Amino acid sequence: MGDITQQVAADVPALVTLIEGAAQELDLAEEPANFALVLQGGADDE
Amino acid sequence: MSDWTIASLTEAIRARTASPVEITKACLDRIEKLDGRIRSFITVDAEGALRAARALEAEATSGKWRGPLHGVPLAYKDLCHIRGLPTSCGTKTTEYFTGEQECTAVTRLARAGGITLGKLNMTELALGPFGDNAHHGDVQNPWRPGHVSGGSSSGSGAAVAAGFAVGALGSDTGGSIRLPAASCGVIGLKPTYGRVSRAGAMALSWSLDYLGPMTRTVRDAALMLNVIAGRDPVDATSSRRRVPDYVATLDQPVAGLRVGVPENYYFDGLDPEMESGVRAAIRVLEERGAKAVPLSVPDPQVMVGLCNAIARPESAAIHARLLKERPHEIQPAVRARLEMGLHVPAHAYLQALRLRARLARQFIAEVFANVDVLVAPVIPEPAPSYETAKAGNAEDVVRRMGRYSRLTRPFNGLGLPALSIPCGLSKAGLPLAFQIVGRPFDEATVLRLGHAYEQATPWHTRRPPLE
Repeated sequence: MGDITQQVAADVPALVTLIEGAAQELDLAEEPANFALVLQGGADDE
Repeated sequence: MSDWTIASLTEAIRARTASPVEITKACLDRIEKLDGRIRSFITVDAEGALRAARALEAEATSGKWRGPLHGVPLAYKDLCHIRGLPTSCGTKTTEYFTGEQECTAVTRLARAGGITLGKLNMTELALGPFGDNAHHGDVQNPWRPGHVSGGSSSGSGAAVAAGFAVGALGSDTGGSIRLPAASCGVIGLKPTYGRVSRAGAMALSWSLDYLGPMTRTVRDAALMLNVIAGRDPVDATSSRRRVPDYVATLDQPVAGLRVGVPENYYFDGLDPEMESGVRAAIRVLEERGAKAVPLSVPDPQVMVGLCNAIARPESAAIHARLLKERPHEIQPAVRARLEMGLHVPAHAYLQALRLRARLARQFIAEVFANVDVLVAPVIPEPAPSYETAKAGNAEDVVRRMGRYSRLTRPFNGLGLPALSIPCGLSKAGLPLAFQIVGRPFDEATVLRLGHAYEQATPWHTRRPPLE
């Protein structure tokens, strides 16, 4: 099969570059945990 | 045996025209007779299943009724931890996942009367879309042995399709409920992120994991979701949002629902038979009164990239000990994907989490302003042969794995509920399928539309030619 580890790891630098580029547009207020708020419309309801 | 659904079986049990003990024995006999070539189970707990069946039969006889799962034989992906049974997570280690915390979803199903037949085969560590497993055997597609079952909930898809279990639980991080559901011609629901507790199930990625039902019919998926959904104090990510009765709204009309059909990405490079099947399904929905709305969706490839940057480091952290102490025990393709996580910088991981929230907000605001659901294919082609799936060099294998899961992964990142439904058979006799994707926590609409499609078509009644 060859070195599949190398093949998979080769994708990482391009991925990091993509993310760093897109992240330039993020506001200070955008936090990782915001995802839960996005789904729940900003508030939990019982 | 192969014709029972959860709904029909519990009705018969309640009417005392079916016996939980006899049904369980029939499942176990069928597994013994046929699963040697399908390889859907890792552990069969015949003794425990029959003990539970006898107890539940006695309860039913005495008038105690637990609900719509009373006496129904179920089986669980072998990353769901159940006390008294080993949890291998598809690895070489029989008891890879140990500990006191039992899988909440399983506990809820058992409390509702479900009978545990055993633990189902899966891709090692839930990392792979085809269903191959060097330790426990490649799960064969019941429709055509030699072909992939889809993964990573490979045993769950095959067991339900083959009539070994009347329902199953799977998990889905990049498509692992929907891929085997589509490949094996059964229903598979990935709920909204946080709708179903993940406690007591092996994590692959805390941010992208989902547990969900795999069943013969949409009604059965709704029945199981009613039981497993809801806040779990042991899972901090589980939502407090009220759980509606997903069965009660199934038969409401679907006329007027706006069904988005993506014009970009999802139909690119699709196998012609698969595209034909999915577009025919959309026409059925239109015949039921839904309105098809072509639209362009934000580029899913970006979300796929973010999912990689999130999932890989989380997986590497979760399975750090295995990677450090026994890497040689892990299958090469699985090990490679785990090790990738060691190379993603922390700041890239955190930025990916922030970007995910932003993209999800934008997607929901833009797309669901114009439609109520999206419809898309699940797999780009009918289940390939294992020979094809494993062929070629490392680059070929990795590319093929990415391609088979490219249509499901965006919705893991977006957190949205997604239901895979069979919509035909290819000329080679392999299932075709499509997925319905809804707004966050709108499983009710997704299931309602899926049920309407199912009632208008014969695919949920077709069985693989096993005997």
